[in-house]
Amino acid sequence: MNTYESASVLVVDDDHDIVNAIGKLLEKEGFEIYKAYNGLEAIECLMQKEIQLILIDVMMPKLDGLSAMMKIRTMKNIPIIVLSAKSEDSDKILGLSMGADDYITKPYNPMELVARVRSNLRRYLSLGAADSVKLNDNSIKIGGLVLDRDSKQLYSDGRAIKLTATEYKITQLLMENAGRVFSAEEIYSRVWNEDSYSVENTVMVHIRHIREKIEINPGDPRYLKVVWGIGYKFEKLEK
Amino acid sequence: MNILKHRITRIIAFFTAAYLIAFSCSGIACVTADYNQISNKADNSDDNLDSWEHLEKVADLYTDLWLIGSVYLKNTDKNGKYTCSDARMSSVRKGLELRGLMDSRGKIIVPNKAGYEYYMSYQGTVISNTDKKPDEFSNIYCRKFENVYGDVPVFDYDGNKGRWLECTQYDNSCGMNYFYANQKAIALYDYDTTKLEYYIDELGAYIYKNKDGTLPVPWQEKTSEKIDVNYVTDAGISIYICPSAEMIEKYEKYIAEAESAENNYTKRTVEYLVFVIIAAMLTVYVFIMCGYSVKSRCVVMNGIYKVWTEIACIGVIATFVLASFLINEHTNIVYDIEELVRMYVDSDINLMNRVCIGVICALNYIFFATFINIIIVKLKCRQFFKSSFAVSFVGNRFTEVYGDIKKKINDNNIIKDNVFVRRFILRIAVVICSMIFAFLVARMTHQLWFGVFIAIAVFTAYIINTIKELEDITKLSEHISAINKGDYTKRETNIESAVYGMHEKLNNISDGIQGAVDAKLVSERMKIELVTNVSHDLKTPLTSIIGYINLLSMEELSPEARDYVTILEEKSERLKTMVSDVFDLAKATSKTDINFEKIDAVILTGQVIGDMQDRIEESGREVRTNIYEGTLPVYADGAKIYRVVQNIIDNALKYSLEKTRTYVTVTYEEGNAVIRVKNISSYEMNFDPKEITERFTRADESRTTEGNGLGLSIAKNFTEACGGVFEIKLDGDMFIAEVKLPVIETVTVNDEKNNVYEMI
Repeated sequence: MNTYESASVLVVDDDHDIVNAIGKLLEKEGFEIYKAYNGLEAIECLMQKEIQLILIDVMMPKLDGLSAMMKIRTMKNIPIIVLSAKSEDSDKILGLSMGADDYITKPYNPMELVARVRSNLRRYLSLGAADSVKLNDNSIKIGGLVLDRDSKQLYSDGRAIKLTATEYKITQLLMENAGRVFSAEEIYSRVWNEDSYSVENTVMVHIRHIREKIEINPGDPRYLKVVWGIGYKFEKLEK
Repeated sequence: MNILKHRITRIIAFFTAAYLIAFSCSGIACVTADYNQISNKADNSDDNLDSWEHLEKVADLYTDLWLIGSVYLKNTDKNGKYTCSDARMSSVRKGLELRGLMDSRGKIIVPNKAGYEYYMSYQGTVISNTDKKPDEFSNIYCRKFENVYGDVPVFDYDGNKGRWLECTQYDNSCGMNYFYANQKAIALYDYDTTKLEYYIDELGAYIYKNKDGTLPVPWQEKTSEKIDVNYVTDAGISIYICPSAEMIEKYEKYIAEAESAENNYTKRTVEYLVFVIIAAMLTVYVFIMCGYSVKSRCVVMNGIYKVWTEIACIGVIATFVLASFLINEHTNIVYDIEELVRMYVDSDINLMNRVCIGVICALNYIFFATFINIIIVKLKCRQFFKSSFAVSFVGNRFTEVYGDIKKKINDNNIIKDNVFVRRFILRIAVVICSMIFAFLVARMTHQLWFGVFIAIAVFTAYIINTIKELEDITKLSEHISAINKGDYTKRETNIESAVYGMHEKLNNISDGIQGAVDAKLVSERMKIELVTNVSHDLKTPLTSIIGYINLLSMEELSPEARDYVTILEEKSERLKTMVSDVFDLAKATSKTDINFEKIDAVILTGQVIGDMQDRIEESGREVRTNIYEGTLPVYADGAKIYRVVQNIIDNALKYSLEKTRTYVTVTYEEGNAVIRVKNISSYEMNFDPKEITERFTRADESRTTEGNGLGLSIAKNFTEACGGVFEIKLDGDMFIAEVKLPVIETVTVNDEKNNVYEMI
């Protein structure tokens, strides 16, 4: 059983250069790399080798990424990261709803790519990681995040995140009410216990700091989202 | 029933009807003639005791008798001996002789050609030609004048007053008595007139005068001989006049004959009417079936039916007039024909008469029915106007012109501009003409109801037409509203309608707009597809570039090479941003992918500033805010407006002069939420504020600094996609970017913080 540090990753893209670039990048990080150039090859490779994570492009000849992903999902539940040039929200939603665990748009940021691969592997291989963090009655789990209210500690993919007291309070409020949109005033009055007055900046700055700590790409947040013109919310993920 | 459809059946029926018409008409005519003959015989006979002639004769006899009574009986005794002076006696005899009422031997003559029985008495003296006593004159044909003097009315047999008999006697108390009756006068003189000159006045009386022209003494000098009269009012003459018994008997016989003839006439006429009715039924059958061809199973207009409509119409009118003339004046014609026949043929007048009448009536019927048939067939074939002389002569030309017009209308080249004005004038003219016509007819016929009827009919027609037109206009306005709302479906209208042309034009406009919209949509979609494809195509190599630059940066490199790699990293990042910006911009212009929701412009601005805190600090510029207190709810896409505000603040930070402040305000202005960013530019802004929002336009032409020139363009397009207005204003070195979004709810204005800026 590999640890995620040396897990085997299948990279699928019809562009050889991209596959090579990603391969080199991940090899440098210590991953074992398998390459495929279309959906059929990917499935073939998956049947023969033991793969822990797949990075797959959408637009490919023979069998496109989404269809391949649906086939793979019938066999394995390893993490699948979609790597696509399609950057619209609708494309992301489609990809994620068809079984992808993550969605990275081209041109990707290499650091972000590595971070996402790690994050997904960690969660998958240490079977969550979640187990390593004691999941007690008083903890909340959203995706790879676990908030332990007893120890007032937040874990991201099993790693403890350092939060200030205010940040923790905000995170707790939002995570306890995942899916609900909070206005800045509400957050301020609940966290600071004071009447609010032009607090948009203050709250927003804190939100941004939290995001930088828990999100792999704060510009494209997965958990903590700003609802522009309305307020802030913690995404309620199905998993 | 099929046999009824055959042409031969119709012809037989037609000629049968003609024969029946001839038969019954000649029969009726002869019966009428017989009857008229008899009744005229009674009317025109000399023995008619109800006639004016009879009354005249009675009046004449009375006049004569009265004169005799007044002049003779009053001057004689029972034995015929004169009781007056000799002078008077001679003037009596002379006067009566002149009148022919006395012969030269002095015997009274009573002119009585008709042979009436009469009886006159004066104080016991009687002149009579009958044995009848006065009380025996009781017959209705008798006249009694008892104790008459002066004027006497003669009554006709109905008891209505007829004429007056003017019977006047007057004297001038100087020896002359003047008897005047019914335009006959006799003057009696009490003095000797033998040596005097005389003249006969206008009524036939001798008027004497002296030789020197004066009137004989004691005739007083008067301008007129007859004035200064004393009416003599002594009465006593009784006159009884009666037709003889033979005359009465004869007359009553005539009356009886006429009565029986009348009864006979009615009876025989009704008998003939049965044939007339049968003929009428046959005619109706012919009219219904006329023109039908068994071969082609429809009504066919051929042969005689092709004659011009005008001829048929004139024929119908002419035969109709002739028929009515025959019916009204048949007696005269019958008499004329009778005379004619009598002149040339000596034999059976009645038979010839009947044949002539019959032939004339039958011919009349045949022509009349044929013309009617022609018209009916024309109507059945809808050729009434087309087959008329007027239309076939003028029509071809007219049809060409009309067809032209129709075609032009179809081509929409004809502008029915003042169609309503024209229609209004025409309609008013029709109304006025009809009113005048109705008035004249009512005046001439003295039938007020007819005028009222026409007036009501015309008024109703006017109202109906007006309502129709209003409906048309309503439809037109509905059409316009539909187009206004973006419904470009075509509307069908009647070509006769006043608004036809307008509808057609609107349809064309709709077509044009629809086409343009469709074309625009297609081109937008193609543009998006193009941009999407291009951006995907750009992204793939870019991914490799970035990936390999990253790998390169991990290699052991000389410091110089590391610098180069750093530059490559920077530029590839810019390229990446640019590609995604171009893609976003294309999407914004196509206005697809906009998720509208209710957001608050105040909160949003705060969020953006909070989000950009780091960049603001990095830039070293101060940002001052003056944000509306309260909420400014707008209906927009939050993520897009975020990009807008982010871009304009970013722009302000990039291009503002160092150590100057940037001002961000959010205000409520005239129903809009206005987000305004002001900064002092670091360079001279010598460009058109409108150009700056065009794609890839940058204030610094050299394009060396960071940024790709898409920021403001994206801001403008995103704002407009959300239904707002994006404006750039320049005031010296002051650069103002303004985002206006309509507020969806009314907000209370309590902007107390005017011009008070907060430091961030």
